[in-house]
Amino acid sequence: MTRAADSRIAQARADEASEDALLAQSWRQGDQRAAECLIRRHFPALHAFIASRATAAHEAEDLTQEVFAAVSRQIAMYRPEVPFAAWIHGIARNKIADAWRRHRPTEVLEARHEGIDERSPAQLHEAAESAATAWKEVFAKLPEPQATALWLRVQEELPLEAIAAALGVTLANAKVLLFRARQTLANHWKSRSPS
Amino acid sequence: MTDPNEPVFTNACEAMQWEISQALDERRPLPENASLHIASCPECAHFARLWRDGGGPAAALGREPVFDPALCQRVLDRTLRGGVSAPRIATLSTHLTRWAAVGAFAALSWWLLDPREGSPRVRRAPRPEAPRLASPSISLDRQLARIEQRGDREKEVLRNAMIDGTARFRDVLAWSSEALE
Repeated sequence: MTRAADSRIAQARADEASEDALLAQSWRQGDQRAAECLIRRHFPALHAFIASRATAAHEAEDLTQEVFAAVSRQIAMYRPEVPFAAWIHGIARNKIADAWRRHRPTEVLEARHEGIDERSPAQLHEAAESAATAWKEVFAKLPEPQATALWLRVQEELPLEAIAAALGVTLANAKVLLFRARQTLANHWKSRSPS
Repeated sequence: MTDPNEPVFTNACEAMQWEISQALDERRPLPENASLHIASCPECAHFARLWRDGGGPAAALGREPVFDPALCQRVLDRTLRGGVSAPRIATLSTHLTRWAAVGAFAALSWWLLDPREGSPRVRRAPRPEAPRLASPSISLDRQLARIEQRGDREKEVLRNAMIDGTARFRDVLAWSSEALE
């Protein structure tokens, strides 16, 4: 990818982040359309993030619901200095940890995306499924903060500062988490591939 | 100059991979030494291919996640129509409910245990007279006078022990009397 393309992506992300901040401000003042717009915008990534760590489709759905309910309750506490995506991922992390503390899931993930197959075109579905499987593997292989840092970087394309804020770590720690995640996965994939 | 936050590297490849990782996160081109190293090191070339070029298994990580509009709609309905869409009002009503509950409890308690003479709804059980403990009558002066007659060192130790012990004994008695009352 060229530097120009990189900077265009960064600019687009910055625009999205400022739009998010405005929508969140309206949501705080009780604007339901702003709330709906924010939820629709962040639902796919957040649900996929949760699904990567949940063991069943219904668990992912319930947790996603819980996260948005918590976002709705806590929207007054949102500060626009942190990107909205980073903020809701922080809430999602806590909800996932709570769910694991409540009951460690025992079900095997079999029908995680049941009901989705008919809705998506076959090719898109296949790609999405491979992404879901890949992320499932990432979350199984890496320590949670590393996997979440990588998710926020790759899927959300968040800048380092936002990743650090979402994880509650310093900028330097966020860099190290990303490096360790990449290193572990590179070694893992290398050892798995036939030489 | 070394950054104190840099991880400790066990070999040159790790240091190069750290450079690549940082360059990716800071959206800057690879440093020249890293590019040269990649050209001659298959391990680091593999690392760069995965994360810089999005090749191999890492490619799947960047794909769009599954998006089910029906599921999104369900979540929207439950979140926004479930009465949690107006956080300020919800918070206020929660506080009002709590204060109302506290007020009702206080009123009920007042009604049941009306402190006015002759009107309690719940009669207090008659309590037996609490036995009072007599306050200690220890003649400290007399004991100290006896100590005066002993050797200096011994006197000092005994004197301190007496003062300390008496004070503690009085504390215990006072506490016991209060507890019995």
